[in-house]
Amino acid sequence: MNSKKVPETVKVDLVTAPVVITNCWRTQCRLSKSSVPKNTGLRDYLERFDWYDFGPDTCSADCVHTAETFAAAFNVLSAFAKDTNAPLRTSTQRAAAWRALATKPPIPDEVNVQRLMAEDAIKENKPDEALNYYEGGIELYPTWPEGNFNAALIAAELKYFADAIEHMQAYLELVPNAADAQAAQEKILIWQVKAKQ
Amino acid sequence: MNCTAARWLPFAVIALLLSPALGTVAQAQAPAYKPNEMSIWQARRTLTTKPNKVKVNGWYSPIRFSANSFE
Repeated sequence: MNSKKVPETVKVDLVTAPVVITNCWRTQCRLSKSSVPKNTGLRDYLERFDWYDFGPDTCSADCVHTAETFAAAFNVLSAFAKDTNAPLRTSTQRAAAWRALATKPPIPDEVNVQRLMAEDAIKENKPDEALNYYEGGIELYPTWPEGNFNAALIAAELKYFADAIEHMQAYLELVPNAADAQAAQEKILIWQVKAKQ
Repeated sequence: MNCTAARWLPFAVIALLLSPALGTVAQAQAPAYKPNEMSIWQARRTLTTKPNKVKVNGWYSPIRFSANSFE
């Protein structure tokens, strides 16, 4: 039995946080820690406990899937932190250049696919899926006002207020003089309050 | 089949039969970064939003990210 106090929060250093699932047994999966540098928040966290519970009873396929999703989430953020060429890293400069264009270019084909998939997910009443598609499109092409606006509304609907604010601010950065700019700004104020509740 | 192979065959069969009980290797390597499969926002939500917080020895422990590592 580990007697160490469980920390309330854990600071994860995303640059040095490669996580893999090494094996699963019953309700638990073991996550790797040897490749995580010492004296980082994640290493401290992983050294505190060896096993992570992902399932209620027996480790079914769902349990392993949840564990894989957990590790993948870590690694997506870790990879993003390392990817210096990610379009989102220069979103402010891209937004300024995009605003300066007299004629706005159409969204790239791969982003359009994300838009179509998001709209299809909305029709099927799968808002989480739709949000992920919109966000996937924004990652590829941050200068997409409609994508940011729709992502903001869906995120707020799902009560992900921090993300909703982030997306709406990106929308306003792209189209500060939009007809609905004032309404968008007011939504941000409302979400800021709700985020604290 | 030569003599050496025949000697090791029973052990190999037993090892195969026991392997599920010893735990299965779920993933050998970190998945590649595929933006379309999981957005960075979804990844962040996966690690920080209920009910997906990590359950550690019966405790749910929230995770936060350092400001300079996710921007």
